[in-house]
Amino acid sequence: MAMKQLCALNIAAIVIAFFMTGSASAQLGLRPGQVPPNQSKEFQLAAARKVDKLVGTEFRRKQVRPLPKSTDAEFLRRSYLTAIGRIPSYDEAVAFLDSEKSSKRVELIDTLVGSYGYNMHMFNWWADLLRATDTFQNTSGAPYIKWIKDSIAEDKPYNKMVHELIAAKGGGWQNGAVGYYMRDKGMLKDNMANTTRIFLGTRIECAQCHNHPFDSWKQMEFYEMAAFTDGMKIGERDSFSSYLSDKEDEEGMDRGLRDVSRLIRYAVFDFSVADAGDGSIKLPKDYKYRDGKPGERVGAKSLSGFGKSVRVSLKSKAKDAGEARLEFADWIVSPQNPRFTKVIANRMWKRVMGTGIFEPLDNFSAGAAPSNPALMSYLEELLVDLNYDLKAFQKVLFYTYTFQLGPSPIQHPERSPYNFNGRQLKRFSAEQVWDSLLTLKVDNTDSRKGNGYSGGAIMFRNRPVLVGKKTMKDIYREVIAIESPAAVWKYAETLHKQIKNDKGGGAKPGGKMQMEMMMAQNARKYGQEMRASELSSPMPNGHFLRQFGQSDREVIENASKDSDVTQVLSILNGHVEKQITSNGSSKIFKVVNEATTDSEKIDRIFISILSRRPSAEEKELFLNEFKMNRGAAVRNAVSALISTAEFMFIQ
Amino acid sequence: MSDNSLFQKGDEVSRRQFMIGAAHSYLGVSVLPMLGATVGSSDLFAAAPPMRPRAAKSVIFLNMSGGMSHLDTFDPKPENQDVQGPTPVIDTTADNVQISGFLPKTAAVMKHITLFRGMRSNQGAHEQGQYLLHRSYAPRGTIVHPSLGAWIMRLSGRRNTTIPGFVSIGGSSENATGGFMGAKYGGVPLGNANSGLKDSKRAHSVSKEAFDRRLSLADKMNADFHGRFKQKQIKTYHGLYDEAIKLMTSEDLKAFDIKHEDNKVRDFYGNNSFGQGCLLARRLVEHQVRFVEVNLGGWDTHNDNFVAVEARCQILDQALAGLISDLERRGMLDSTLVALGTEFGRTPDINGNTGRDHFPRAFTTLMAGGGVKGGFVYGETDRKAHTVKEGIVTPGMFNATIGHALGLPTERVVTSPSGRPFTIGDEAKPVKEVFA
Amino acid sequence: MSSKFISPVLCLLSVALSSGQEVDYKKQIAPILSSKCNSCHTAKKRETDKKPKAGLALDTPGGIRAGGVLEPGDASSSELYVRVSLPKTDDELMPPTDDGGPLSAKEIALIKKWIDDGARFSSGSGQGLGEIAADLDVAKVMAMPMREPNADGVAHLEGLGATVSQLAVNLPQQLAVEWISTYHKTTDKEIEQILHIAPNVVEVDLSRTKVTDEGLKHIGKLARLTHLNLSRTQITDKGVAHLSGLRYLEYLNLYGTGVSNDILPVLAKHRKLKAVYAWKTKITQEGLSKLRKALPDAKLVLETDAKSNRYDNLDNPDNKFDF
Repeated sequence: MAMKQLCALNIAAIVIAFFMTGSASAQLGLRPGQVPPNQSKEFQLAAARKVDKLVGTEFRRKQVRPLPKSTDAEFLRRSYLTAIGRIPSYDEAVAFLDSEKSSKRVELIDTLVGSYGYNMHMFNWWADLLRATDTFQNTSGAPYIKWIKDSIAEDKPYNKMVHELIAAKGGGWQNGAVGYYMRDKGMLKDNMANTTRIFLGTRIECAQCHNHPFDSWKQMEFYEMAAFTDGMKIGERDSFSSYLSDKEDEEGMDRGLRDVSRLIRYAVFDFSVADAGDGSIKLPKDYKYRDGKPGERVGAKSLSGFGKSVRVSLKSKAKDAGEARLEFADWIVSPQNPRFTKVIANRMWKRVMGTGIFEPLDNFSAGAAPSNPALMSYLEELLVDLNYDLKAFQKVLFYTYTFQLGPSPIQHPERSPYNFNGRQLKRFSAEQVWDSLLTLKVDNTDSRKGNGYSGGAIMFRNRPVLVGKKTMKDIYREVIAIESPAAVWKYAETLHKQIKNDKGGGAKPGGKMQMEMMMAQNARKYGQEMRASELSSPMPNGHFLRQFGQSDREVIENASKDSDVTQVLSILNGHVEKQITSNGSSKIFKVVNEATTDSEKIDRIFISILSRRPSAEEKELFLNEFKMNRGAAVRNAVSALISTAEFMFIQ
Repeated sequence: MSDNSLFQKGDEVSRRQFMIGAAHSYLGVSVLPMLGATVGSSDLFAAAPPMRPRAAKSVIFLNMSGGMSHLDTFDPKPENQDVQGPTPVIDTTADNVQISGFLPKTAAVMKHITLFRGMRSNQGAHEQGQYLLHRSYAPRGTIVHPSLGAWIMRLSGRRNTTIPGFVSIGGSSENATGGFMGAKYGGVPLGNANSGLKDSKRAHSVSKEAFDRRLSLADKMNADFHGRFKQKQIKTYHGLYDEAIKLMTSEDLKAFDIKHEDNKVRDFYGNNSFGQGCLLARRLVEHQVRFVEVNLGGWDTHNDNFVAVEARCQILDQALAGLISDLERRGMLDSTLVALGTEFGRTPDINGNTGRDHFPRAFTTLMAGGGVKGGFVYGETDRKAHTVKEGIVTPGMFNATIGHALGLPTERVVTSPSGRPFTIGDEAKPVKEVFA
Repeated sequence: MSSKFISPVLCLLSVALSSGQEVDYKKQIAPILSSKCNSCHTAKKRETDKKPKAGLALDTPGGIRAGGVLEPGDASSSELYVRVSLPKTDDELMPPTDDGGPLSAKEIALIKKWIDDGARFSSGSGQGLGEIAADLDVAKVMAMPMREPNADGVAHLEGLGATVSQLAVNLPQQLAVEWISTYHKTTDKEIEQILHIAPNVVEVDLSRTKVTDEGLKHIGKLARLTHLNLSRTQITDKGVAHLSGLRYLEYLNLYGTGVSNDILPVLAKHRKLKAVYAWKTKITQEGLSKLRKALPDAKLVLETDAKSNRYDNLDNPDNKFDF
């Protein structure tokens, strides 16, 4: 349909105009002095121009006209939601809208991407991808969550992060990355299918039971892959664990002591990848193909066609199994692996631009072909140049003119190749809805760091204890050094006494301990008035976040942006009405009450909720409402604006 | 209903169809020429439907979570005291069908019930067993299968379009998942029977007038926005507001409020959350909700099995018998399928704590109404209730049978977004022998 | 699996169509289905007929609706549209490429527009329905052929809040009429309109409607009626008298109505009755026992089973059915 509008237009002229807007003169491959590309703004701006050029070439080739540049208001709202996952507050919006600096867009991006809000928003993305939950079967997933948050905070390169996950070994409170396997305890074959899906965009799960019907994967190939992780032993020192467990069950056992013992058992002995397996696996009893016999043992081998393959021969028992998984991790993240970089570059593109260069993101066999191959391969190069720094990579994309194009009036069909000549409207994610509403309710949304768990505090009966005195990491270190089960029980008794006698306090100001204490206290102080990333992962079923489609973290990328009638009811009569509209202490009312005239009040309501000033007609409409309905006008206006599609969709 | 053997002329012939046919043929010439002259009798009489005509319109699924002991409920073995233990056994209103003495009221309505005594699962842990029971597939880390209610919504849609078509009362909200089909087909979970439909009433803080003004303001804003973005997703989003208003003003919303029932009726089902859940289920089905699940937990009787099961049975007995007889006296039992399922049975061997452990190899479920035979037993276990001798029914078959009772095409393949094919019963066929 | 790309040609076509008028099911959609789909997707009408593929019959409006392939107003969520609009290479394309597929771009666009506009099977205006003959009676209805139901009549009733459905995929001539969420505003006036499809109606559910004794006159003309639910309505003995011509009646639900023992002689004449529900009426146990003599095989329900005396044979004397 876009094409139809074009026919009469001089496409070439428009496309040229598109290039003119960027600094087309910028040199590519620019590498000034000693600054590595991922820290060089100059390099990143130049890379952004190169991206625009590749997108523009496609316009010319397909005779497509790009939409005009977004307005400041559109850019403002889109950047906040995309980079830090919430709408701007009133003050933030006014500061940008009223600024007359020519560089204000680039500066806004720098501010947002450098803020803690970026980390919060990024965590939601990782948690959905890795299915990171607060609890695994019997034990706490906190070390894993903490590892993810720490990795985001230190800008750990993506390839390093993936390598740590795949090669993870040891106890959870020593190396949180083992959560990747703990998460799938007892279903390591599914874990392997997930590994290839997440990191290689390749779906082999069908081949677990039979040769893949549509793709070339054979059941044998699936088993060879699964052999890399199959023998892995989860949990260590079983005898310690069962000793404690028996003691806990003793008649008349003190309940507090029992809970302390459990805490130790789950966190130290159970949450651990002790042995990496020997890189082999038995074929299933009903194996029916000619290339193997039922129950036969086969050695690990990586999928063919993904760069130089790695394998573990059955005879090389001498080969340390841990080493096999290390090699496997090397193979996954290798730049020679043709899908590893492509998949993450495309994911990041979708995250920033709203639509992937190819979709589905994780299933090449379903016909996922890049809509713009030249762009795709440049992005892969770029990510390598940036040393897999996802923040720097996203920054490049945010700097592009492509990101700044206006919203497309036409809905592009799902899963069909898109040329990015305008931004596709997308509904907010559940977290974006929650975090944006929070912005209307309270101040300083992004500095409310919570979740004592992920701070490493000892959570006893859902309360942080021994804050500033001992952490879970300390317990791990101390217990793992103890040599007999009975001595561990003694340790539990001592710890129980310490917890009972704990009166709080003890943290040194400014120290790391104090940070933990603060996070634990925030969880109590703010309750649920924190951003989604600081609450439970995931929230319990039925919670507002889940109602709006937060992933249950059961399968990869299971978040949903589908709307349904219960969400609308929650806006009209439930959460939104109770927490914001009828809540006199909501931040938005404070903002509005600072205004003296109706006209100014209406401006403030619009800017707070929709990040823009009202049009003349809208102003009239709402002025009329204020005239007719003095008492309830502000609340009616707030509720009405939250109920619009404009609020709920990123433009 | 009389058990007329005429109606068992092969399951392929519809009962209702056949009855019409029979009626006409008995009446003879006075009717046939009229029909025959215009339609041709063959059109009306000889039709052999590909599936049952719609007998059941709704399903009430009673989920016994925790693993209900088959020996102590519906598959007693009085001749083997070593496995039977102290649980008494009684006769029922169905000939030759005995059940546990813990279920006297159920015994009285047994003539409406078909027992499946040959249930078998391959999942011995609760979560996995419940998953298989509800979804016909074993859990996988790579896909979320839709639950049975979602399948039914997907294959047949809502009957009453002003209120949700799938409601799950108590128990895990996982049971209400739409899985890969999406939230659209999922159920509305209600914490308990008294909680009502969340947010379906105007908040106290908003007057009727203010509410309407808000909607009108939003409408005007939306009209502009939709003018700029003529997109399906925007239209759909606006449509949801209309649907929400329709729901809020629906007469049928009353269905969610059991306070409209008088105390005698409430007692009739038992004054506990399961009993009241069953009562709510009946109200919802009266308002043509398609699928209602009610959960009764506490069946995980590793310790003191006999005391615990008796206590569970008191609740179950009152509610199940109450539900079946209330549906019957209202004339709703033929069009409502009551199904009772559990993830597995319990070990015939009694353990050291006078308990029974998980036992997926043989257990019992049941159905009543919805066109199934009354006083019928499908499947049989050996003398120690240890293994299924004949009539094995898997959770997939059980679910396919429920679909069949509703007249749904149980062979219909629904493809997940990832391109994998699924059916309501994991390709299992319905057990057609249980239909009258 | 190949990707599910939607061809841009289609987008253009649908734009072109959107300016036109409403798509007519009979003239534009049915011919496509009949030439391209019905060789596999036709209801089974005789013992010897094949089952329709996937249990889906596309040869009648009822079959299409019962098949769960329509999402009126939303083509892209409707299987009927999605499956015909897949690319040629997709295994799920309908009709299959070796069996006449794919449909032409125009046919696909027509189906899309038809569904997007609400998938109506008739203009639904009720125009052209004509008057209901004043002298219509049960004999005249019985004499009418039981063919494919009058789509205008069905649409008209639906416009009045009724739900009209066929008994099963393969029984397109036999209809059930209910007032599901509109019962509280349904009166004799709406109910009378059933007569437009009188020869096809075999089930009627008037439960909780405002039907009166007078309104049952109309119901009394539905010659092929087998199931009638009058529960929780205001009707009395006078109304039931109007039903005397319904010789095929099998199921009659009178629960919660004002009927009394006086109607039992009338009911006794309905030889086909298999179930009568009379809980919360003035009908008594004694009355029912007399009826049971006339209809020995019918189920006559007054209270719960547990209250009746039929379970004395239970061995355990402790079993009390005190509901």
